[in-house]
Amino acid sequence: MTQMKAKRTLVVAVGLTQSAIGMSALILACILYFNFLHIQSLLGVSPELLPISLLILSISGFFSITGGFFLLHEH
Amino acid sequence: MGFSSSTNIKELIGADAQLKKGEKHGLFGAIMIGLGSAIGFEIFGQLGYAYSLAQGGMVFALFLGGLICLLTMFSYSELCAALPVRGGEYSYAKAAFGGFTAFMAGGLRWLSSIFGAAFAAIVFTQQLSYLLMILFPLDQNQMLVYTNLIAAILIFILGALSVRGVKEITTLLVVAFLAIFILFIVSGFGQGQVVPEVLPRFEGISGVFAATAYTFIMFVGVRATVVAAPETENPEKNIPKAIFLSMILLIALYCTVAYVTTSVVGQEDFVESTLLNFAAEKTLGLLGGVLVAIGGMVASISSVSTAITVQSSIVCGMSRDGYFPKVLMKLHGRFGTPHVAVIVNSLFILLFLILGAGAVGLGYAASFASILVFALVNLSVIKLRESKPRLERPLKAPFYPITPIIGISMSLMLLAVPVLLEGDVNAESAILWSLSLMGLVLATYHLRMVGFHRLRVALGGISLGMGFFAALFACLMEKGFKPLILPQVPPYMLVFVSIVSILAGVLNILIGMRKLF
Repeated sequence: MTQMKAKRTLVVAVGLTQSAIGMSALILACILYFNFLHIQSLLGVSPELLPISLLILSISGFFSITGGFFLLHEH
Repeated sequence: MGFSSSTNIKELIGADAQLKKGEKHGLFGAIMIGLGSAIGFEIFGQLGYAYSLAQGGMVFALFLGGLICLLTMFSYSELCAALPVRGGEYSYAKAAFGGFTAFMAGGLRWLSSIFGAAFAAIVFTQQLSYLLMILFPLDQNQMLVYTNLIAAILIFILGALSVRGVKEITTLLVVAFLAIFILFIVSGFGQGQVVPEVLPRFEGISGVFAATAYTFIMFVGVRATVVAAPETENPEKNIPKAIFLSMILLIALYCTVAYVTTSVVGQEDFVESTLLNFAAEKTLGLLGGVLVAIGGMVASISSVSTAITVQSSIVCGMSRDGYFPKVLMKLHGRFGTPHVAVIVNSLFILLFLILGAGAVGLGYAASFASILVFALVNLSVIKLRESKPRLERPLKAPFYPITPIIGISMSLMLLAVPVLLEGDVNAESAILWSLSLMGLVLATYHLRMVGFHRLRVALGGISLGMGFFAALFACLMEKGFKPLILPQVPPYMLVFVSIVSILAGVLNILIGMRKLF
């Protein structure tokens, strides 16, 4: 019983963390796109590499959110 | 798009209930439906850009668009008479090709409606801006800065109203709209500075084809006549007549408006988005411009409301067939509207407005999706003639197979011309948006077919891969490697992301495998 509970807690914790990471990646992508507080220069993102950075952040963010939600759905 | 009657929500969920004879409309009613659905905001939004592409050839461009549309309408008539069921293009493609193509047809129709609604919202703002420029000359610049924001607010309000349920737009509006155009035409004849060349010159032919692609959306509303076939008396006789007469009237109306506009505008400078207002000002004075602006605003509001309802009906239909989650079919407890579908569709429209999409690009994107739907309808006619030759066809497309083949060829040509010949940035970005959304729709279809647990295992594998990749990057950064992308991200953050991703991947794979086997 305790083992089941621990397993569920782990699944929820990992699900929540992964979703949060995904959300952060998407928010970072938005901030980078709009260049809030000159974040592009702060993070050293060159304008040429901005599209690919946004693409990587968006895709990884999308997959992280979906993976996290799947784990939460299981719970 | 345009002044079409709002789709009753019962239509998308319920069966094809037979209407009593007294509730059905005749030939005149069918023509009014066709005209009402086709005459809308599109002419306000696209005419200016079409003029910049085709110049004097604009009249011919509109004639060509009408002709291509008419060819496909013959295919619509045949399919409608042979398969008198609700669902339009979606049902025809389903009968001819089965699930996937039907899904494509439904998806493209949905896309066209999404882009059309966003386009209508921007046209509303442009016309409002014009009206305010006349009333308060200083405020126009401010309006232009916030075009997409105001359009987004309009979508938000109309989306909320759609959840409550909107009432049908009456044909009275269509008559009023026709009256404005006829007034413009009558007063415009004889006032022109130049006599436009109706036939295009050879060197300007690519511009004419590009203008046709942009203005094609002005005619597609006539398909509402076909969709309304179950409510028409003697559809086998009345629908083809209604389609033919609606198309002839529309072509005549639009070509005459284009002719008068071209003749009165001449070589003068004008703002593309308000070409029609400018031309009306020239012929009817300031009142003409104001009348056109009010007409454009009313048409836009009506189109956005209709589009939101149509999108909801498409999404609900596809949810009913199991392609989309059933939650999208959920009806509001108090208003009886599919509020989840309305909210989801409104969010997609808002997304394009927030991303700063322009009216011209959105108009082309709506045309692009409609042209693809038309090609699918023509293909369905050919496929059904081959695969089901004994199917009862009260109506047959004339000159088969020439009409559907020409319809397909012309559609494909219209898709290619603006990008290949004109190198048009608006068309390129519009195609990119359309393909992205279509990719999303197709991904949804495949994911739905794959099944939840297989999808979970696949996603687990992706998480695992992402985790190992992040770990590899963290190790390399520790050894002094500086990545080109996000070089300032600290390695410990990557280690954290990698641990969580690997754990999530393993858990998703284990749970998915356990459910599968």
